[in-house]
Amino acid sequence: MATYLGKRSVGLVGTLLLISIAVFAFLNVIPGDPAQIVLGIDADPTAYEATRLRLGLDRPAVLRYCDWLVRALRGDLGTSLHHELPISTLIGSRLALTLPLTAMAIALAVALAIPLGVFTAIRHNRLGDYVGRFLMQIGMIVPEFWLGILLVLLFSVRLHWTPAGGFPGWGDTRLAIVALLLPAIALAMPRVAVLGRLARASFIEVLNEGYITAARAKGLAERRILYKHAMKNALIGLATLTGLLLVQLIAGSIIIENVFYLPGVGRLVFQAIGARDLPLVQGATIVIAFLIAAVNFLVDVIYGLLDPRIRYQ
Amino acid sequence: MTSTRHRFNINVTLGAATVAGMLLLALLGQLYTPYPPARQDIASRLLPPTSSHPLGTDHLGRDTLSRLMEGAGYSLFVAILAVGTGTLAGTALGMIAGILGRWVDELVMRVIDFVMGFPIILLAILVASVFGPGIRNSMIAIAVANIPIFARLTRGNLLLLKEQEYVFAARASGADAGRVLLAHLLPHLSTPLVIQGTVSLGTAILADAGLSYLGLGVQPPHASWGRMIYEARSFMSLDPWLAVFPGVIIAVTILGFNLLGDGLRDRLDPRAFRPPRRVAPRSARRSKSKR
Repeated sequence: MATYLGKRSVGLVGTLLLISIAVFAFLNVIPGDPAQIVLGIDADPTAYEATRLRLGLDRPAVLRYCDWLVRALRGDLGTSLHHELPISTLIGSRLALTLPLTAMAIALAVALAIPLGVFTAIRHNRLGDYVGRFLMQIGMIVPEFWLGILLVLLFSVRLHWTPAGGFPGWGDTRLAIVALLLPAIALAMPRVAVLGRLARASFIEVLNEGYITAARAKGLAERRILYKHAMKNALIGLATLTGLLLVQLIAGSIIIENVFYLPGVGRLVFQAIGARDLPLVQGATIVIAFLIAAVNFLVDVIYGLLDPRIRYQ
Repeated sequence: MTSTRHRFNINVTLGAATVAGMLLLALLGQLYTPYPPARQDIASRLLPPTSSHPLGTDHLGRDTLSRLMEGAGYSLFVAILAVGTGTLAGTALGMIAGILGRWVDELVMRVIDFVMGFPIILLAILVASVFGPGIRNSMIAIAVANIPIFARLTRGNLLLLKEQEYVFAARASGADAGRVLLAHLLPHLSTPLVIQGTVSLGTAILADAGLSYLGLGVQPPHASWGRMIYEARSFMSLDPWLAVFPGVIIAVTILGFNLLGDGLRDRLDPRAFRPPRRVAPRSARRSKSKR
């Protein structure tokens, strides 16, 4: 396991370096002139020179990247042009929304998908199965931002149960969780559909295995067979998919935060595009890509723990 | 196998009909719309569906049906062009990696794994912050995100097919590498590509809608489905219909591509996974008899 972990960790560090190089190169080298992007085409020449100096564009890109990397390792991602605040502070405060939102959504997705998968699997090709599969098909085709808006329409505009958007901060935990509830549901639903379909397929497969028949022959209670014997084996395949879905969730939260006007990283990076705040776009996209790489790393590690065969490949 | 191959497939029929309907709507929208899609008519704003405006009007009095028709054109255009580009580039890369092997394969697959780590939305944000938002840039993001999918698919199948006897036979009979690839391998590679392409078109419609919701896709005054939902967000307490129709048309279009993809997989791909066709597992029957 130690060798496996070591190999994966080296891979993670490599990926992180590559991500930062790729994003940096894309934003700095390919288009030509970041100062021009920041100021627009008809910029005043003196302002243009000042911005060039401020962004350090008088120095070669390789040196700028090395500088950026050394500072980033110390936790300094530079200063936002628009907010005039350290980028790491900005992202840190916004993560306090994005991470709980993502966690709520994935917890909700798993909590709904597994029972749905079990339910449809034990009613294979009967009415309950068809209804469940129909619902999952719907879940796969509904865009999450549209679902979010429909939820607002129902629960905020019509029923007045929840706020239509915005975030009151973590001062009052109950209010904060209520504010995150609709966005988390909107994010979770498409994942419930994907995860539920896989859960159904793997339960159907597992329930046809010999050891389940053996457990039945022993006279074990059906509930015990389902939750003890079948569950364990059906869950292994779900672990990887859950990781993949978590990556989708991080990406999806960028849109959902904008639907619900939530001050998370996604809204930060989106507003940064509008304000042409390139250092902030760079910092935030790199942080989001890092999060995704970290999730993939964790999935690999968990998979190695669950299935010993993976470690020795 | 033959019986399942030629069996009438409800998914293919429904999916193909939906997709064809959307394509027709998009084409028609280029030639004729009931009203000019961008024409504002403040006197008749936020109308519910009426006989003169079958799907109502938006906050500027623009006709929703006309805008949906215009939006259909952009959505399908972006999806088809982006997925098409992604398929061509991805297939070419996958072939290069699969045929040359060794370090080329290693390099290509590493790069591809890396690109796969970037979600479409992140790619689009990077592209938009450099080149500005616009239809071309959302297309670039969707195309780039599709390249790894097709490259992996092509490479994986190529590695399997390379070892088939008919390929050895073709080579033994003197066919050169190009002929083996085009005449013998490509027909077998194309089936999974067609299936994946159909599924990718659905995903592309979804991605394009999301990007245009954020304002990173088609720019005003042109209509896009995603942007219509965004605009409806502010007026939905006055006119809920505004948010409903564009969402329904997005969902139906994606459903069409998904059904077509599923159906084609069942019909064309003999290696496709099929759930075991048994009667309900005993657990189900037993719990039923208990009740």
